[in-house]
Amino acid sequence: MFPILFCLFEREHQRDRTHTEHIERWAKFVKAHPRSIWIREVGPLIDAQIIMANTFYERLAKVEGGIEKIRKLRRVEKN
Amino acid sequence: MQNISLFQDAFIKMHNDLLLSGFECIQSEYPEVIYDDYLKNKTSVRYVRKGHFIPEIELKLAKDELDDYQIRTRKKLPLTGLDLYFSSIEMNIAFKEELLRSEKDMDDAKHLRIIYSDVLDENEITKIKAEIRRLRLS
Repeated sequence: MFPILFCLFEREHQRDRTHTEHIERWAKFVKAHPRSIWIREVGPLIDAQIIMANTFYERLAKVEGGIEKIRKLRRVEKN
Repeated sequence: MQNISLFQDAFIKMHNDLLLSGFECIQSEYPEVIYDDYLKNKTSVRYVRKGHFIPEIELKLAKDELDDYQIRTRKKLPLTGLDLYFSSIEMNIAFKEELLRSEKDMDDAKHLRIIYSDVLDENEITKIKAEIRRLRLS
C-alpha cells in the first residue's frame, strides 16, 4: 500500500515534463553561478558514485568467481 | 475509489515524513496538489534535500502491467551494500537491451551479464522483452 521508492525505466522520449524541467533548472543554476558554487552540489555526488563503485568491486572480488568476473569486465572495457 | 483515497492518504503521510527528514518537493509544497496535478495523471514529481538541486528522488505511480511486474519482482542486491530495492537484474538487462538501447545502456547490460552470469534467467529476460514490445513499443 505504501509507495516504494523504486526505479522504473523509461525511454528518453517517454520521460515526462518534470524530467526536462529539472535539467533546465540545473542548467540555469550552472549558468548563473561560478564553478566554485555549483561544484559544491555536483562534486560530492560524483565522489560518492566512485566510492560506491569501488566498494562494489571490492565485495565482488570476495565472492566465488568474483576475481574472474572483474578480469572479464576489464577485457570488455578494453575492447 | 476507496483504493485511490487510501493511496492518497499513504502518499500524504510519506510526503510529510520526507519534509520532516529534510527533503522538499520541487513541484509543490502541498501534497494534495502534488497528488491531484501530477501523480494521479501519471506524471512524476521530484524531491531534493532542502536547498539543493542534486541528487533528486523521482517519484511516480506504476502506469501499466510492466511497472506492476517490476515492483512485484523487485530485489535487494547484496553486492551494492545498499538496503534498497532495485528492479531485478533480468528487468534491468531487458529494458537496456530492448527499450533504452543507447551505447551506455548496451555497455551496462553487458556488465550486468558478466557480474550476474551465474544467476541470470535468460527465459525471464526473453519474457520481459516480449512484454516491453507489447506494452511500450507497439
